[in-house]
Amino acid sequence: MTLRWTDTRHRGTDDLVRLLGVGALFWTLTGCAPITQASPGRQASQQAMLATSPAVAMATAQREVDQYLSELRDRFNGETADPRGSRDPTLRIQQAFEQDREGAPAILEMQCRTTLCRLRTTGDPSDVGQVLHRALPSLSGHFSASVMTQERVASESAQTTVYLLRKQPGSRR
Amino acid sequence: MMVRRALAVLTALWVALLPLPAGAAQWDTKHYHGSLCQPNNDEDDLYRWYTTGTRNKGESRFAHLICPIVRDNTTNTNGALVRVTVREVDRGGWCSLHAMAWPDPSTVISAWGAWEGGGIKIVELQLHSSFKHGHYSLWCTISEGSSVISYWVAERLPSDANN
Repeated sequence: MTLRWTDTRHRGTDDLVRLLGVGALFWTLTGCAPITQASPGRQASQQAMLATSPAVAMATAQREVDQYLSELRDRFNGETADPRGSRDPTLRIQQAFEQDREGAPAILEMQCRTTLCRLRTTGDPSDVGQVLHRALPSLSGHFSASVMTQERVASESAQTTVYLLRKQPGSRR
Repeated sequence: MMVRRALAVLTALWVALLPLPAGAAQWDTKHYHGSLCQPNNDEDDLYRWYTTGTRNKGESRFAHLICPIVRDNTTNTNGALVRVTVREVDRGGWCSLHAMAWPDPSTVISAWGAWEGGGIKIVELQLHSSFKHGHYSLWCTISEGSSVISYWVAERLPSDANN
């Protein structure tokens, strides 16, 4: 599984008109709608899933998740520190957690590098995800996407690591 | 005159093609009614469901919604594209799209998008990665009087060369 990132864009009414234009153009050129029924390829992959034992399927899927996270860690570790450019995004993240409701997860550590920031917090990803979602208006100017995972720590308390993809200057990403 | 008209047609075609995602991707698209979105606030009476979607009928509160997505392509790892259509009164709002891992959903990839001002808005959220056998979830926060009208989900087909 190759590491890929995300792109978010906000569109206005003009884009709706464009989308309708695309649909009409596609229909005109191909004579068919871009909607398909379950394809033989999809049926085959679903059959393969059913034919695999749940334990094997789970182990394979978990390996792929671990590999994805390992690639993400390597990417973060390979980037250089960005102390000047990271002041504002760091502040926004700190405010998001401090201003959230009582009992919300707390930040344990935060580091920003060239394209990624890494955040370690208390709490599980479900709680951390809620904090980030609630603070999205103030964060979306600095970040476009995140990857969260629960750390397997020896202690009882859950910890979450979040990688945040920084928006680059002049980019809509 | 003819040259200008030809240029205008070509420009219109170019503009129309701009929103298409890059590459020769093959997509399986579905369009869901906004009334599928479920409330995630403490008070259920903050919401009303209409033919025009799920509306926040509160007077001064943001409403948090979770909107279900049926994942058809359960094995691709290159994500999905979602476009949410909202009728925004004034204050703006935001959505986030999540790809959860399977079997343990505590690893999550998220894409974020926000809008400002009033009118019909479309927010596009694109995940370039997803987890085999995992699921998707869409969360939206809308201001008082605003509605999620519908949301459009595009998944890559298994026959897609980029799949």
